[in-house]
Amino acid sequence: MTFSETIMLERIKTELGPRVIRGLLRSGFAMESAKGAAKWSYRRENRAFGLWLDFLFDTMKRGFRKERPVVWISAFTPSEIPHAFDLEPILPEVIASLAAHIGVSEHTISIAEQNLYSMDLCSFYRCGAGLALGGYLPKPDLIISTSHLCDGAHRFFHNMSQLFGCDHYLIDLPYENGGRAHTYVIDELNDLADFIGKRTGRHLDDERAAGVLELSNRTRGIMLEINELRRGVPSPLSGSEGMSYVLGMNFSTLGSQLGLAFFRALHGVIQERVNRVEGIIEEERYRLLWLHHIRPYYPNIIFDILGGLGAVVSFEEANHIYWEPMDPRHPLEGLASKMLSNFGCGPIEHRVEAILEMARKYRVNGAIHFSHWGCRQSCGGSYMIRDVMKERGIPTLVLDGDGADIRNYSEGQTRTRLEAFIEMLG
Amino acid sequence: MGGVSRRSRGAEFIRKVATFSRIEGLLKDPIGILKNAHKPIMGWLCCYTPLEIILAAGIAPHRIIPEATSDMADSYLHSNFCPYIRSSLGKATKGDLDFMEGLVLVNSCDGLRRLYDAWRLYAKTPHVYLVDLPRVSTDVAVGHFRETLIRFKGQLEEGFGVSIFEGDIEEAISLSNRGRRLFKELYNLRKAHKLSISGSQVLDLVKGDMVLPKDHYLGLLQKLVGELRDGAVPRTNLPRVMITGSLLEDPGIADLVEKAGGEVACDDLCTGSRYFWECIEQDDDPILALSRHYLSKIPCARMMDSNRRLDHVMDLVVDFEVHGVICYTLKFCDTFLYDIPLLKKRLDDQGIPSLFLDSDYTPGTMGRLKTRIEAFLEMLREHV
Ligand code: SF4
Ligand code: SF4
Repeated sequence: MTFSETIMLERIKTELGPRVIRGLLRSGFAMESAKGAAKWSYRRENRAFGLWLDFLFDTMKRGFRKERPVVWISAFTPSEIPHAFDLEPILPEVIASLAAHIGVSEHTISIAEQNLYSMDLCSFYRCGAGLALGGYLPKPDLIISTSHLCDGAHRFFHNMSQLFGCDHYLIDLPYENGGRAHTYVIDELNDLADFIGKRTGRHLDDERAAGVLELSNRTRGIMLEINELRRGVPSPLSGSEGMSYVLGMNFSTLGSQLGLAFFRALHGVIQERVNRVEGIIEEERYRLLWLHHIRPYYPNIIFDILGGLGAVVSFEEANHIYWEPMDPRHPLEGLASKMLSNFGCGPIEHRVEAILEMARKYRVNGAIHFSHWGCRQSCGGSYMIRDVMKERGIPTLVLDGDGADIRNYSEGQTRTRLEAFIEMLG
Repeated sequence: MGGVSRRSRGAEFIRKVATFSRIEGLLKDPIGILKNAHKPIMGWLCCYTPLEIILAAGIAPHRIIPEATSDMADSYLHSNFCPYIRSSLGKATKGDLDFMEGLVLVNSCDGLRRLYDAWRLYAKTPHVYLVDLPRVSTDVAVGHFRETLIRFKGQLEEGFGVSIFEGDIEEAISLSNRGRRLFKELYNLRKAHKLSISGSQVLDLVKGDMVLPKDHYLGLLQKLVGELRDGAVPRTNLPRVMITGSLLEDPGIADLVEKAGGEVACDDLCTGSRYFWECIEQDDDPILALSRHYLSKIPCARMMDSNRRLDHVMDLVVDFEVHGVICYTLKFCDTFLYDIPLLKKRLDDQGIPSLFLDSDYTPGTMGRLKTRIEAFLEMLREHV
C-alpha cells in the first residue's frame, strides 16, 4: 500500500470505526461525511486516488438514493454498457475487495456462511453475498454478468437475482473467439439491449453509445501510456496499487468522463514519479510480475516483505490491455470483440502467451502466481503456468492465499515462501 | 426395525435375477470388455458430452469414473480442485487410461476447462477435444451449439479417418433413446413402489451404460427390465430418500442410506437420472436435435437457469413420495455449491428435511459420512 493509501485508510478506520464503516457502505449520507473527512489527506498526494474515493462514495450514494436504475455488473461486464444506458453500475466484487480493505469482510463473509455459502467458494463472492444479505449494497433493479473467467461470475449473480427478485441477464461467452463466436455475442448484446429497455425504459441511443465508446477508447489510450511508463526502472507504480483502486476504476469506469479523468490524473502522478526517478522501494533489485487479478486486500505484509528483500511488483496481469480500440459507430460489434479478446478465456495457452509477453515487456526476474483459495479458473492453471514459465527461464512462485478471507492467510508461511523465492532469484 | 429386512428382500430379489448378475460381472472389468469390441475408445467425463456423435463415428464412449483411491495428480493441479477431475488426471498420468485413443471434455465448468489444458500438457492421450457449451438455452445459443457440434463431428472425422453421415447420427440417437427409455421405466417402477431395488444397484445399472459398449449393454438391460417388470416385490414403509448433487463417485453411498434403514427412491445426479431423463426428440436435422436436447434437458448446476434444476428436484420429491433429501456435492464443485442456499430454501419451504454432505474423494469419505447419514435416517424415521 502506498503512503497516501495508508494514511487515507487509517483515517477512515480510526476516525469512523468499523461500525460506521458498515453504515458507510450502507448509507450515502455517511459516505458524504467520510468523503469530507478523508479528502484532505489524499488530495495533495495522489489526485487519482482521490478521484477513486469520490467515485466510490458517489456511486454508492446515488445507488442508495436510486437516482437512476441500479445495475449490478460482474467485473468483466464491459462498464461501457451501463454507461451507454445511463444506469448506475455497482460491482459487488470491487466493493468486496474494499470491504476486505477496511476490515469488514470477516463480518460479511460470516453472514454468507451462515446462509450456506460454502467456505470453499471464492471469498469475494462470499463477501459479496454477505454484503447483499446484510443490506450493505444498493438494491439492484437488474443484474448483468458475463461468463468470463469463472463459474462464480454467473452462479453468484444468479443467486443475487433470486435474493432481490430481479432479472439477471447472462452474457454467455463462447470458449474461444473464432467461427461464429463474434456473431453469437453480438446477437446476445442485441437481446440484452431489449432486456434493458424493457426493465428500465432506457434504450440504446446511437449517439450516446458512440460517445461512450469514444471515451472508452481515449481512456484505453491513456492506460496504454501508463503501462508504457510502468516499464521504467525504478517501477513508478506498485502492483499493490495496480490491483486496488486502479483496477477498480478499470472495471467500473471505462466509457465515462470520470474514467478518463481518473486515468489522466494517474498518468500525471506516474509521470511525475518517473521524472523524479522515484521508485516504490529504495533499491529495486528484483522486478516481479503478479499473476491473478487480485491480491489480498485485508491487512497483510506481502508487499512489505518483498520490498524488504529489494523486490517490487512492477506489473500485474490484471492491468494488461488486451483489447483493441472499438469502432464507435458499431458499439455492439466493438464490445463483443473486446469481451472475446480476454486472454483469460479459451485454452491456457492464451493466458501463457500474454503473461510471457508481459514478462518480456516489463523485464521481470520472476513471477508470483497468487493462488486465491476459491478461484478454480486461476489456481487450476497455476502449476501449468509455473512449469511453462520455468522452461522459458522465468522462475514462478505459486503462492497460496486468499484475496478477501484472512482465515486462509498465514503470515509465517507466506514470509518463508517469499524469502525462499527471492533468494532463489539470486 | 422390520423395515430393514423388507429392504433386503428387494435387494435380494434382484440379486437372484440372472441378468443382473451378468451385468454385475461385466462391471468388474468394463475395459476388458470394451477392448474386445475392437473399436477405438473415447473417454468422457461430463453428462453434456454429445455421446451420439461419438457413437455415430463408430467409436466406443467410456466414462471415466475413478475410484476414491486414485492418485490425485497433486503436482499438476492445485489441491483446491474438484477431486473427480484430479483423480481422472491422476489415472491418465499414471498410464491407467492408455487404452483410450481419445478424450472429449466439455466446457461445463472451470474445472473441466482447466482439465483440458492439463490433460494436453501432462497426459498422453492421442486425441483430446473440448466441446464448448453455452450456459443458456435460447434459440441463438441452440444455433451456436449446433455449429460447435458440427465442428466436433468434423474433428472426429479427421482425427479418426471416418465419415459420419446424418443417418449414422440418427441411428445413434435411436440407440441412446432406447437406453433412456429403459432407465426411465426402471425408475418409474420404483416410483410406483413396484420394485424394491437398492439405490446403489440402480446406479450400477446406469453406470453400465456409461462404461460398457452400448449396443451390447442395452440388450442385457432390456432383458433385465422385462424380468423386473414381472417380479415386483411388496412396497416397504421405509423413509424414502432422494440423493441430489453432482455425481456419486461411489454408489456405496446409496448403500449407506439403505443400511441405515432408508430407501433410495430416486436421484438427481449426473451418474443417475440426469444422464438419461429425457429422450432426444428426433428432427430432420439430427445435429440440431442434439443441440436442442443438451441445452434444454434437465439442467445441471452449471447452466444459467438453475431454477429449472431445482423445480425438477421438487417435482421428483412429489412424484417419488420422498421424505428427505440428501444433497451430495464434491468438494470445490462451485456450480453445485452455489445452488445449496437456493435448494435448502426450497426444501425448507416445503418442510422436506435435508442433509448436506460433501466428498473429497478420499477412501475415508464413506466412514466420515456414515454417522451423519445414520443420524439423518433416524430423524426421518421419527417423522414418517
Ligand atoms: S477471484 Fe477467481 S473465482 Fe473469484 S471472482 Fe475472480 S475469477 Fe472468479
Ligand atoms: S463435479 Fe462439479 S467441478 Fe467436478 S466436473 Fe462436475 S461440475 Fe465440474
